[in-house]
Amino acid sequence: MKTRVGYFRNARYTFKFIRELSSFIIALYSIYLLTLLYYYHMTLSDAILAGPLQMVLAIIALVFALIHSISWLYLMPRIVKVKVGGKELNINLVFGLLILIFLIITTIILVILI
Amino acid sequence: MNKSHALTWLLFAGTATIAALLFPAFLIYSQIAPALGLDIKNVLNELSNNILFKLIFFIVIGSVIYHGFYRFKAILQEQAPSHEGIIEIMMIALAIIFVLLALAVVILL
Repeated sequence: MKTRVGYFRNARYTFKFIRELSSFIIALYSIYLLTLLYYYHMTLSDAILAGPLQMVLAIIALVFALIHSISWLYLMPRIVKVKVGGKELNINLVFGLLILIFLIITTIILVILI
Repeated sequence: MNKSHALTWLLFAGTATIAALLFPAFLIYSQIAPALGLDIKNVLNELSNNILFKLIFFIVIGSVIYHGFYRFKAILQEQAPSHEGIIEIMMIALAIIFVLLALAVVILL
């Protein structure tokens, strides 16, 4: 029989809890964003999309989005082993490369769009 | 691992990667840049008129929603292991409903 997991018994489990929760918080934020866009569609007023409250919520969501991004990229090489020429790559090296790819993609998107 | 579990896990991993790589940039562009001076109308125009932007918006938002609900499902299942089955059904159903709502909003805009 499975037992209940205690997330606050040590730092590792607390980190796991924050990692899991970060995804749910950005999911809720996305639903909130959809409701704002629906409101915009109904009223054609863009004021609600760029107020100070939206800025604060967006920054909070960005913090959780970054927690999710970094923790997922940290987990990826631990789940899927990357081999080059039959030799397994060091997981920290793969994590570093993934962070680099993440930064390049983010920069390219922002440069193209803004 | 049975086929349906493998499929939901594959979706979980795929949506996690999309959300991890694209959501922060999307958030900065659509919510933070307008507050720093970018005209919000530019963002809304892209969303209303650019079919590729609409598609990417839906994929990113849909991925974030599905992945978030899948992970929250895991938290709930770890807290109430005796109700694993019902939690699985409820959370996946909620994820699908919200992804469909995202699709509806994207089509409406």
